[in-house]
Amino acid sequence: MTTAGRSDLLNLRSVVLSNLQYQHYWTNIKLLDTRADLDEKAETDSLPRPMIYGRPPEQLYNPEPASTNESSSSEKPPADMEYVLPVHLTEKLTLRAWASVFDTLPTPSGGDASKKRIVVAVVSGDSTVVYYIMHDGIVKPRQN
Amino acid sequence: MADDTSKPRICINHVAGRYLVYDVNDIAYLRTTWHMCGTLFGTLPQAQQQNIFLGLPLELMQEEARLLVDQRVAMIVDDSLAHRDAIKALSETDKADILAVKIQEQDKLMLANREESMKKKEAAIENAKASGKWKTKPAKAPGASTSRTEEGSLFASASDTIVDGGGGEELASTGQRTSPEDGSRQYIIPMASSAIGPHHLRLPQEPNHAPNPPEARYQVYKHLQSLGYFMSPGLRFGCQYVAYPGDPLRFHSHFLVKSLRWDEELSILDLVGGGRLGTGVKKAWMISGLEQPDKEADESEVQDVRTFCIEWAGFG
Repeated sequence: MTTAGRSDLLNLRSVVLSNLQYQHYWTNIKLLDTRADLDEKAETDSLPRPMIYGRPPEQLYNPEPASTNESSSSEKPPADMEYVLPVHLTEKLTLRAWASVFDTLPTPSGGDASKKRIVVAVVSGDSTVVYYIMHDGIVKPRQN
Repeated sequence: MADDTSKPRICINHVAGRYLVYDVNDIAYLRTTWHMCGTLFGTLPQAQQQNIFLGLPLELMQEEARLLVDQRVAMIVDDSLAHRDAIKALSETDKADILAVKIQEQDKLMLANREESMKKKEAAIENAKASGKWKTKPAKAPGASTSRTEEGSLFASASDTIVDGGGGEELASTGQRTSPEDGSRQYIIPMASSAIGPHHLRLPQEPNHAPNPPEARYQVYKHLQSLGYFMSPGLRFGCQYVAYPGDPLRFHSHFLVKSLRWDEELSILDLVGGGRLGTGVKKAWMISGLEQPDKEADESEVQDVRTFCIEWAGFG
């Protein structure tokens, strides 16, 4: 389903991993290779693509703009954990591939399957990494 | 919503591969009931030198035309065929009848116009006199009139030309004129030619043409349309549709939509470009397509349209 082999994807992930750790200060990082890494009860089938699970230093996606009244008084709650999918710039993915990535992810705690999101980490040949948020379903843009 | 019996179907004229609607009432109905705004692209007769504001006809996207035909709200009329048939079917007595009705209508209109213009002219003169700017100069030349009387005299002079038989400028937006051989009388032909006088235009019952947009595009369009989104062509944002959560007059658009077949490959560079562009204009870039459960699965399974929304993550 992808043009890249498994070992290529693992190399890709290691680039993204160090970028997240040392450039963007992500914490609690965990590598995801099999379904069992997502859910202990699940079987040990490998995921469609290797992924990373971790906590960004600040909340990555806030549908509501920051509420001014709360921020000063109480300490901010820790940012949500995010799923990161490393891809290479020259890859070509189909909707089927994107859907299979989302379908293996657990439903978020809110219980709304349409709120699933991943962070797509795009690696280019010069090892620049750029990040995009991808939602499963129709999700209103942040700034609108 | 779709009332088959009471409401006659809307005519969508198929002209040179484009789907056009000529009737203002149909356009209003499509916008309020079917969330279709289309694109006006007719030059305004009174402002021919600009293309910011445009008038009839309204062009619909292929997907819109297809949906309306599928929902039995509209039918496609092959424009050139319909005109040829209508003209062939018209007998000499029909023509005389139509002419008689036209003459009656226009006489009425002319009288009404003349009365109104007289009233306006008098009012304008009264106004000018009251403000002390009246200098016994007749208000014929609009250029010479003061700002206060400008509006009144403008109207007056415009309808004067009708009486003289030379113009009819304010009617130009709804029709065009034609002169018979003696040149003494001009007729206005309405733009919406669904009925010429008492004669209904004879339309082919079974049109042999149906709009056929690419399936992936149509399914995505239909899906978003059914969720209440207003779609407009996406050229301005480099996508297929721009999706508005409500009427575009009230809302900014939320999504730049690109439809894909389920197994169509999308380059990551396109995703990066779309994501940046969308975020740059405070929108999300959306890829969408009809889900095909499995390559060998039977067709009976219910197929859903799946959408993914992409935004820049804010770092990197």
